[in-house]
Amino acid sequence: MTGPTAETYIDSVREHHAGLRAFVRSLGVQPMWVDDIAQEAFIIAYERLEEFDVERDFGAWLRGIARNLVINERRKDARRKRILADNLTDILVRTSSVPEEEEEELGDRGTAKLAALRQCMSELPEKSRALIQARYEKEESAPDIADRLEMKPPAVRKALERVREALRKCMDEKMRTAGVTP
Amino acid sequence: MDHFEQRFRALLSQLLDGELTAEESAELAHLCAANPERVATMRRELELAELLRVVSSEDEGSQAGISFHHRMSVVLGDDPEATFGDLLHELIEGEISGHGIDQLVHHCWRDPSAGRQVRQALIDDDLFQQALSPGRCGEAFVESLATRMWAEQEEDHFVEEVASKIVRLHPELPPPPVTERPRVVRRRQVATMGYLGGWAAAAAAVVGLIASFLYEPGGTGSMTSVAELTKAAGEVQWAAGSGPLETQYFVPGRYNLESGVVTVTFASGAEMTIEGPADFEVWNEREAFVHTGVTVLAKNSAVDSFRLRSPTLDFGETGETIGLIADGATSTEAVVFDGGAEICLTDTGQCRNLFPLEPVRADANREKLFDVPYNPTVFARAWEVNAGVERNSGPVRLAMPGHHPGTAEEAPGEVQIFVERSRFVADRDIKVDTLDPGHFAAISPGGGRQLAPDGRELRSYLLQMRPEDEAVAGDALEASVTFDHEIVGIIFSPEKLAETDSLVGSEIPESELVADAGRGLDGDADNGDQILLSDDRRTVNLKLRGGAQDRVDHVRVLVALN
Repeated sequence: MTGPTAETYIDSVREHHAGLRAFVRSLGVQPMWVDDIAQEAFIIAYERLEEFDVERDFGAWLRGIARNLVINERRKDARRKRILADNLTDILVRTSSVPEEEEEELGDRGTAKLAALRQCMSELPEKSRALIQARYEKEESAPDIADRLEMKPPAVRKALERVREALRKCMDEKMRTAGVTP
Repeated sequence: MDHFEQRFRALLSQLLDGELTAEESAELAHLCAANPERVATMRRELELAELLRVVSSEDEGSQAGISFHHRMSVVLGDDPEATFGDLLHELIEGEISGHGIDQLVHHCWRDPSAGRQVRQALIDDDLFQQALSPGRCGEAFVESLATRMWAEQEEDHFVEEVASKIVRLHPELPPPPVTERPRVVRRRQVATMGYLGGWAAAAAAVVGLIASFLYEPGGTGSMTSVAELTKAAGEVQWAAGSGPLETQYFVPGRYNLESGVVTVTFASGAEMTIEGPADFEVWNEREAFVHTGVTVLAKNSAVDSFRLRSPTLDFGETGETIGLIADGATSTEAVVFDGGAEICLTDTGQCRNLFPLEPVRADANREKLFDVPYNPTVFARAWEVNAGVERNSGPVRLAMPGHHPGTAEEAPGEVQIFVERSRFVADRDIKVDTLDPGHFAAISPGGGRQLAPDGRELRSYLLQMRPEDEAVAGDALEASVTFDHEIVGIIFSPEKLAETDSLVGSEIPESELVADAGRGLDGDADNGDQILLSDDRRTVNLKLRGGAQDRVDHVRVLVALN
């Protein structure tokens, strides 16, 4: 088994970034800082490549680094924190697997999930796709979307949740079809 | 509680009292945008205020009591309607309050599977963003990471590897630019990324474009930068988590520079050069606060106003160029290098107009400013970066403010550099000497060309050399000087120096000059003074020979700032 080297590191970044970023977000990091922390984890991993045990899973090792970075956020003063709230991160970190155990993680196979998700989005009814694009591509808030579509914000939120749920199911189904455990 | 928190609390209080002006409302929105916790705080306060308003407007009676109890339970944490699902939606939509987070955490403590549900929802939401948001696509992430790794590990091959991948992924990109590595190694040009070669430069440019989109002042990115790091010298180190975004972009906030010297260029055009260790805050495009550190602020004539503060001083209106040495809450020394300025004590509000080179000190809990001796050497490193000059080799010294050509007491055999006019736009032709890059040239009378005004801002420097005495006149004085902007004109013949003194240069007393013939470079190509301009038009190399009649040599250098 071989791990990434300085020469092949870019391939490892491509393979793991989607899952790692999602993992970082799942620990209660503010959305605007997710990529920042994920990048820090990649940089630290690159600087410590010699310490990486090639028998281990590289993704799990990255998650361990990211997990420690997020835990460190707890110690910062309030203005510098990149997490939403200490208590939320506490509980979310507790529910994430300890890297040493290398348990299957929620953010694993992020790249495959991303590909499945893109396919699912293309299959959405036009109205649902417009809604999800407004929310994520144009970064409109629910009240903004509601205002534009002459709907009430709670209705937009409900509609968004329904579309998200449909996408989740579709993504899992596509992963299963491809022989990958979602 | 820092300044931002104090200001936020004050504005929130005004909002609740219905006394917020439109301008203050915008300021409050800005503060909230910089910190989501403030949004949550404001929401809680507004909820409570609204609740109190409704209760107070209702008739007295039991119905009002029920309503009050019900509404207070929403605010104070016992809301029966706030289900786990609702809270999760609010979290995903970014609309959850601090209290909502507490409730969500309680759910998670009660039911361990709830925590996993929260994480799964956050993961899915992040994947949705990665799939749809242009700013979060995989390529943007990888390219941004590449720039960051380049900035943090300059000698790494990561950028080249990423660049080659980009080439494969984007064959439509133009062929690699042929860029030569500069001959003379100089300070890192943060903004221009001049050290990257070939495709690495192309990759960096792509990344730069992405970064400029994300952090463009007033742009559509999630954070708005109000200033940018434009120059860096020495070993620049920021305290963990307290440097600029992408090592370059400053959003309103507090920064801690551990070492090195950086120039922060604000969106207003003002340039603040600060030497580490330093602790400072960027407030907006026209205001900054220095807790500790040596600072040189160049407001520039194009900037309407800029306010610089420290714990004990407040430059309500800065001069063209000022210096400030802040020592935490204890004291601050300040001096105006160029122009005038009004300076006020933070504690008492007492103000005083400062004249150029009139240094003062403000101590905490003291009621007046104290005059102190002018000690420019403490500003030497910051001034060097601010002036855009780097010594490469030879006996070169940058003159500090207050020293003028002809009157400065430089040692013989030394090249002294004066910043003559820091920023100006020529309104007529400037007669300069002809000098082709890459070849040593000597003075040739009668030559030259006209530098036509083209609207560009220029800066003029005067290099003054006083050769060794006659006994050692045979030895040539060799020196090399690099500027941080492109050299667009060099003047070294006596008559052109005299012609341009009043236009772009300095007032030099006649008594300081033996004669025009002794002022510029002397002699022929084989035996006289020689000058060379580097291929990249940023470095001037000088080889000067002394002599009894050669009391002073001058070379005027014009660089384009934009």
